[in-house]
Amino acid sequence: MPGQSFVIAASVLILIVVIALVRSRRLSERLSIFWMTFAFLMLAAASFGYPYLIHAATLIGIIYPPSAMFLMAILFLLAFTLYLSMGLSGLMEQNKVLAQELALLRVQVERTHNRS
Amino acid sequence: MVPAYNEEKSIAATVAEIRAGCPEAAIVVVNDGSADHTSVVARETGVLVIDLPYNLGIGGSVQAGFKYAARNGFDAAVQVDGDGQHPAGQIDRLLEPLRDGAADLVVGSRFLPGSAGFRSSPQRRLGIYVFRIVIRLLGGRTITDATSGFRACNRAVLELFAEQYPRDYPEPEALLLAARRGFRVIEVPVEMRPRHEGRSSIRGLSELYYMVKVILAMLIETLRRPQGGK
Repeated sequence: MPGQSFVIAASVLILIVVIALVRSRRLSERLSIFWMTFAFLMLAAASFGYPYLIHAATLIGIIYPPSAMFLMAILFLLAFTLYLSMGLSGLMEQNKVLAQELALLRVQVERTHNRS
Repeated sequence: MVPAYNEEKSIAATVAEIRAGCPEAAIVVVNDGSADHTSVVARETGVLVIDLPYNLGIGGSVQAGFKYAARNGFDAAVQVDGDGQHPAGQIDRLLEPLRDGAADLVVGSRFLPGSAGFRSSPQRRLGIYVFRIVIRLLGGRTITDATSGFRACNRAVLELFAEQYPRDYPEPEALLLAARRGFRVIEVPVEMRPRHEGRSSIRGLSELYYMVKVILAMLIETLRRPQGGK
């Protein structure tokens, strides 16, 4: 099936890109795990997963198996963006504290500087 | 303390008015990463200026002021906006209930009997009315002017706010934060003015966004278990 080989090629490409990014430290190990899992799931689904996909699709009442795959992919991406939003919120908070501390320290430095 | 964002035209007048109205106060201007000369103009008046390295929003600036107050042993903190809307001459009205021990957090209100002067635009007043109902329901007390940033608090509340303070549009939410921790929040009538210069940070469609965001934040705050406080 050309579709199958296309998905296999795509997932291998994602794996290579992710590993290259981690190697050059442009992607953290922690976040790379998500992407690698995603790529492996795609690879598994494309190479030997189709019978399981049909089974899973009928179980949750989806007639057209590829739809089940889309659904899973969307849920995965949704979970991932939620995780990223959480990370972002944490960073925003830390960033705020850092800016405040910096400003307060600057006041102290100026004060000691003026005194001496 | 005076949070200021691009207020170079009004900051000096605000500082002078606070000096005249409350000579014993230590004045701190928190410059929220202004693009204009707010910091320079404020320094020229001789007050202490906390320069945030970039814009944090009103919540982050005010909290920086509370942190300063908490670490330097102040008994009370008064917030006066840098845009000249707040009558700095009336600071004593805010401080009186704190001195008497009658309240922990005092808000200067435009809408109490005895208040006079500028009362904001009709749509803003509608928003303030909605906050009044929401705080009534969630916090169990009536605050007529929840968005007023002209307020004073004692040591216990400023320590709380140094630790936890809402971020974006903090005024109504901060009241709920304090009220839910058992602090006594009261209002006193004050007389406000329309702003001298500059524009409000909240206008147009974002007024609606502001209201929805603040109400949502207050609802979520009531889902939290209060930490700290009395």
